Amino acid sequence: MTHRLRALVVAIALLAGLAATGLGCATPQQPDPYEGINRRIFSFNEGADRWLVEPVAIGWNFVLPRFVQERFADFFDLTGMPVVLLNDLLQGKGEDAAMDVVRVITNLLFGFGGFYDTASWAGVPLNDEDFGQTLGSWGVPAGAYLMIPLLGPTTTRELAGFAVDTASTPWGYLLPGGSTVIVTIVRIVNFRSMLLEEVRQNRRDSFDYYVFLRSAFLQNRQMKVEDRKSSVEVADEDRGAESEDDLYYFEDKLELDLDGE
Amino acid sequence: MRVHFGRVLASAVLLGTLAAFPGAGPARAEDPAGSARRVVEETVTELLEILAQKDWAVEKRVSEIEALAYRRFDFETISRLVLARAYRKFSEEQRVEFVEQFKLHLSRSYGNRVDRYDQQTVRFLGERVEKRGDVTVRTRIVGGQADGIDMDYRLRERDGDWLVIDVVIEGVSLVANYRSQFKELMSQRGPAGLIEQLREKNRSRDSSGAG
Repeated sequence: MTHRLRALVVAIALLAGLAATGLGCATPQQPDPYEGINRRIFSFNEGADRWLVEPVAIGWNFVLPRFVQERFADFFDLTGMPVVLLNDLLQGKGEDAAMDVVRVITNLLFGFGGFYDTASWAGVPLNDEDFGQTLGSWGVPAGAYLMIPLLGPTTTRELAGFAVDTASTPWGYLLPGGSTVIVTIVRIVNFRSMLLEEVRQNRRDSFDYYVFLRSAFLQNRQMKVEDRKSSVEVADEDRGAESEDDLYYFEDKLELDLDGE
Repeated sequence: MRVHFGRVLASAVLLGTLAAFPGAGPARAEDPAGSARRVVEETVTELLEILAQKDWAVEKRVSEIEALAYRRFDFETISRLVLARAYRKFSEEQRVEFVEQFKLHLSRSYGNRVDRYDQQTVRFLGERVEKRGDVTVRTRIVGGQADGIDMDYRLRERDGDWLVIDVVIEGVSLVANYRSQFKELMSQRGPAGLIEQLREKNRSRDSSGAG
């Protein structure tokens, strides 16, 4: 079942890749060429969240104290380490890769089997790497912004990355199919339960929640590809967002193309 | 993907707000980076002091934090950057009105959330002078629910004071985020419509109390 699911995800990624290279070309000025379809999928996702995921997460949050939710979160972070390690290696980050190994050993031995993130406490940082970032570091542009049913926001590149991450996660091969499905559900519910108030407030405070999320997602991914250099430091090309000059000195540019408009 | 998405949401949260606060101070021309950093340090210290007043009513803390934001942020510049090209379509009165309403929106949405992020300290990661004289001060939140989140403050000098003109949380710029939201709204509803929507949001916040 998980294997079929994986195949499906890979197929979607390939299709999306074809679509993005062939049809709607995303550019830094227009990162969202499929906005119409994306918005429709987004309202479907919002509905699914309001009527299914959020209520379940509220129940989870009611039953389990924050402390327990954090233990789950720490454990799931640990289960993601094979992917982080692989991508640290693919990006040639030897030192980070070594720290990943130290982190896993530390948390397994001294973190109650991974439920307590002792490594962070001891100063070993939790690296955040995935194949989408690896592709970005190899120079693959972000591509078109895509909204995937039930999975949420992504881009052509990130979707391909997600497919590879899923395929390179060892648990699906090692554990019986049913258990990984259950674990995934628990992970999503636990994750969502830690963000109840946040999501509520974002929905309330934003003027266009779809755009709010798109902007946040694209900027955040961009920063991760650039490895935490502040986003304003990033080179002007292909930011998926505006360049530093556009953002902070637009008036200077305005003088130049006033006549053009 | 779920893992980063968590970060995105977490940053979005803070973004929809303003996050720990910097701002102006008696900054002299000596060393821009140093002056800007001192301003951020003072503001963060002040913010953490307010948050530590557990015996105050929530409303009191919130209004103190709003006042702090008013002093430390250059809302006029922020408004101009957020509106970008659309700024030209605003009349003089509309500009004043927009700044007033946007200021209210930003400081409230921050003030009302901030109580949840109270068990935190802030680590200073360094500062950087940008191409044209702005200074970015880089910080990281340690502890509490927002543990490990990177927050950069961009400051610009104005009449000898360093004021915050953008907050960048986990790579997500507040200015860029609002700009893209307002861009679509502007094209649909124009300056008057945008101001009206801001007013509506501020009003509904009034009636719904501090929450």
